[in-house]
Amino acid sequence: MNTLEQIQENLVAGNANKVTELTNQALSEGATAAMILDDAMIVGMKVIGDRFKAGQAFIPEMLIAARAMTAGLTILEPLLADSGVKAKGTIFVGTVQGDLHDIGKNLAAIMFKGAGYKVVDLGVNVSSAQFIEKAKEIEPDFIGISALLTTTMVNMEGIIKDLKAAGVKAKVIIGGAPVTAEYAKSIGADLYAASAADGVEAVASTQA
Amino acid sequence: MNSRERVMAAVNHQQPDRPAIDFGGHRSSGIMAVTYAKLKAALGITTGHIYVYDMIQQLAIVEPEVMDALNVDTVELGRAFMLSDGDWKDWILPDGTPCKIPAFINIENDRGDQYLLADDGTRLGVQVKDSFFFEQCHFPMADVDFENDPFDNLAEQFAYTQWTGIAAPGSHLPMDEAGLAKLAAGAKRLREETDRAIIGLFGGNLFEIPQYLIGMEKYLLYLGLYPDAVKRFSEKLTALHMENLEKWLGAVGPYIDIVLFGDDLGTQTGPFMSTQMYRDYFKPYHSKLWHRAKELADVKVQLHCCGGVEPLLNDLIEAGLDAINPVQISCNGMDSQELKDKYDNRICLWGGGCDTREVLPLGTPAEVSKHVKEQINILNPGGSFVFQQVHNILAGVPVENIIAMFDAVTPIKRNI
Repeated sequence: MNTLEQIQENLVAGNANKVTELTNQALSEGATAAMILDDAMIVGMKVIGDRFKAGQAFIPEMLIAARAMTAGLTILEPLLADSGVKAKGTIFVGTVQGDLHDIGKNLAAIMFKGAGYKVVDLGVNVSSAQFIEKAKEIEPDFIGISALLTTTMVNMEGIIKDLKAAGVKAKVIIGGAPVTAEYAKSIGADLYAASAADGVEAVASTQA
Repeated sequence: MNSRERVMAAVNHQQPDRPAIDFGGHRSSGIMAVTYAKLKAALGITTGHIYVYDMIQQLAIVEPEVMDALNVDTVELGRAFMLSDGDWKDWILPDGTPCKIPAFINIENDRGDQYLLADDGTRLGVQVKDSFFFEQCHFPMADVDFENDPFDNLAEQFAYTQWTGIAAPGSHLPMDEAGLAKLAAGAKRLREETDRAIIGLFGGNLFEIPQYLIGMEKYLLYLGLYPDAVKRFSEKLTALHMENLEKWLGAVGPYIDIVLFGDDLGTQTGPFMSTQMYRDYFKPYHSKLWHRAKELADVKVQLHCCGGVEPLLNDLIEAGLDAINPVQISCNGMDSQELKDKYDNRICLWGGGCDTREVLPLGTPAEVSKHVKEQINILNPGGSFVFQQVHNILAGVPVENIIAMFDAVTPIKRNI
């Protein structure tokens, strides 16, 4: 097994120390940061995402893999910036106004990050104004909005309207326990994710 | 059959004369106060008040007149306590409706946001503007060295999370001699007054309490990182719960029918954890508590457990569970027919009577009625089913839909 495969395997197993060690080793062996990202980390996170969707991995496994990924990315990020490697796209994530739940949004952020996207996390209880203000500063390709409750889910509709009225071009993807594909369509969201792992596929499908 | 006989027949896998109905017998079968006020008006009930007994979720006490109108067969043990006006104080619900809340609740207003306070003033929960809930904002053990901490002071920390520190009627009484005597006296009186099945809310949460103390995401990460510490935590917590269970059931055990435990083990897409993790970290402790409860009193054990938990059901049954709630039928693996076929006569499906994700909040009354009748046709034959909508009824749910829901189970009694 080569070093990149070992990184992938240890990332899937959630072994952060080993991923740090192997990332440094791969770099010293001549691998570029982009190679390590594409051929080890993104592949590893895809394995976890697929297992999660298939009911073979669960949130604890996803979180320890993400922790291992973060350990590796800490080493790679400055190198990637120096070499001008571009992310697959920029996505904002935030929990809808009135809602303070964050784990669904955080898991989605992990999966986007793990798939090579630049993730800007606006936190919880995010208003239209906060999304719009940030979009003026960093033009995102996608905006992901999460909700846990039927009482807060309804605030998504207003945000989508406000984003469009403000001329924000990003495609909006929504998800969360009460949200369905039909609801997403009815309020004018561009994309819907049934789970954290589904979001990446939905977003990638628009970039093909 | 009277109400108690109807509920207990269902729990004992026998066919009741009609589906037993739970409404407000515990938190998840309840209703938010803002919606309850509208329901009362629609039913033509003008007596009583709007009492909020669960401050966090702002759930209303379902009063006897409403229970009678809707043919409700359950009652929560908490209804035996805080019966005088002095136990309550005035408050205003987020939509402007006046209500009563327990006098011991302390709330602080800060620039439109409201904070739920511990006795010493620590802000435990926040209700931001535009929200109908208090959300936890203080996690007393967030920064603990989880891997190495002995977890010796858990009981003291309970006062500092909103879910363990903010009491409700019944749980406001201390577990000392005087408090237990009041608990027993109240439970006895309620038993004498009602033929509804009495549900005692014990809690005994093993998977949720660490999340309240530490934070959900951190604890879920620790499940993957520190197996020994997770087991140590579960053991310490079980010892605390066991001590309380002995005292509590010693007082109320002779007067209640169902003991409710709580632990949300599932999400929309499936369990939070693998079956193996459940077996390693929680099942032995659930088993201990549930079996002991049944030794201490002639009660059935119910678990409130949200999410797509079908993969865990066999293990929960093995651990001693009699009834699973709320049967969240919109989740993966929670198809009503499949659950009925697979688990009938082994566990009572207490819930799943009406979907609360789409049908109840967004459907028409006719759609609600059709859906409820379909659910009953699937779940009720042979018993092993108590009717309850999947989640407590939230703000914004049309009252006509709520009435259509109950009317589809058994015709309601209107005052107007």
